Amino acid sequence: MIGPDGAPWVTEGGTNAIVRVDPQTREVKSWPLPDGRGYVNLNTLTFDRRGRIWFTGQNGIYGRLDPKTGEMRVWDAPRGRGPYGIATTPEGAVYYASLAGSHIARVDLDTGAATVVDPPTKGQGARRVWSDSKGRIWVSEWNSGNVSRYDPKTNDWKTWKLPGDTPRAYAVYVDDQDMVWLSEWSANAMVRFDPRSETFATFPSDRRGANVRQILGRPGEVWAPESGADRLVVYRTK
Amino acid sequence: MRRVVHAFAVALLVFPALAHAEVRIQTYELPRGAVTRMTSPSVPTASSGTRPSATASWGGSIPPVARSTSSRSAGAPRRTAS
Repeated sequence: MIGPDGAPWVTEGGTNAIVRVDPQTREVKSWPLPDGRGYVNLNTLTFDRRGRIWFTGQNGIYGRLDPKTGEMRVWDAPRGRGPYGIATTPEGAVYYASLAGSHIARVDLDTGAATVVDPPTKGQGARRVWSDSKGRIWVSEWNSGNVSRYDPKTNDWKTWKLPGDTPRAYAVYVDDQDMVWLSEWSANAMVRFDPRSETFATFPSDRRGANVRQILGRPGEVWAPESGADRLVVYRTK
Repeated sequence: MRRVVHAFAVALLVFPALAHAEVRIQTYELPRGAVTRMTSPSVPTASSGTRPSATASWGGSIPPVARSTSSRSAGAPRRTAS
């Protein structure tokens, strides 16, 4: 994840730490998790609007790091194992998805408390989350093969099944045109969902086992790192 | 009749081009072995998580990320109604 400082920040599972790489000097700075927490299986991080990092660990934690002070807090997730993808809305709210717990949760940025929000599909395997421009939360559901949308203003959910017989939605990202991009592992493809027409467009990879685990982007660009092909792929939309 | 055939042929040529123009795909290959090298630095010693300690520097060993690029058109994506 690129931070507001322009540097890449990493959830470094091997060392159980949050890591920053200086883009100029390539100095690597590490903030290990507290010793008492042990190995947490770090997953993903996001920045809030105060420049703080929020991160998840699949072993059942989420946490916060203030890079300015070095203060780190770690909380037990409300339903234990599973915290996976995490993202910040344009208004600054932070949500994470729990893959093993099949829910999403909103984090109180002051107290750190997490409030669980259950998607309508039971056992859906919410893997990652992303926000659209209106602060609605899009969820990639691994077990169900759905993409779903949660509107915090109305508490409404809407769900769509991805194309194919047994889709597996891994990563989700919403671009600057509010088009929803997902990586679909069964079809080895990127899938773009247009919420206005409620239609999918599928872009199969030309490499076997592309395995896109995270999608990010900039205006007019959607970046999909193919972890199984050691390749970055950019979808240019302008 | 000839005009109709001609118009049909032109439409066949133009329509795929319009579909391709919607999304352009570009790829960037990572250097061979880059992933292995990036996971090899020694592990910094864990310490208290409340301070930015355990700073390690191994920047010199990190290879440049992007190397060659190639491009392909998106092709006509498979469209499926929800």
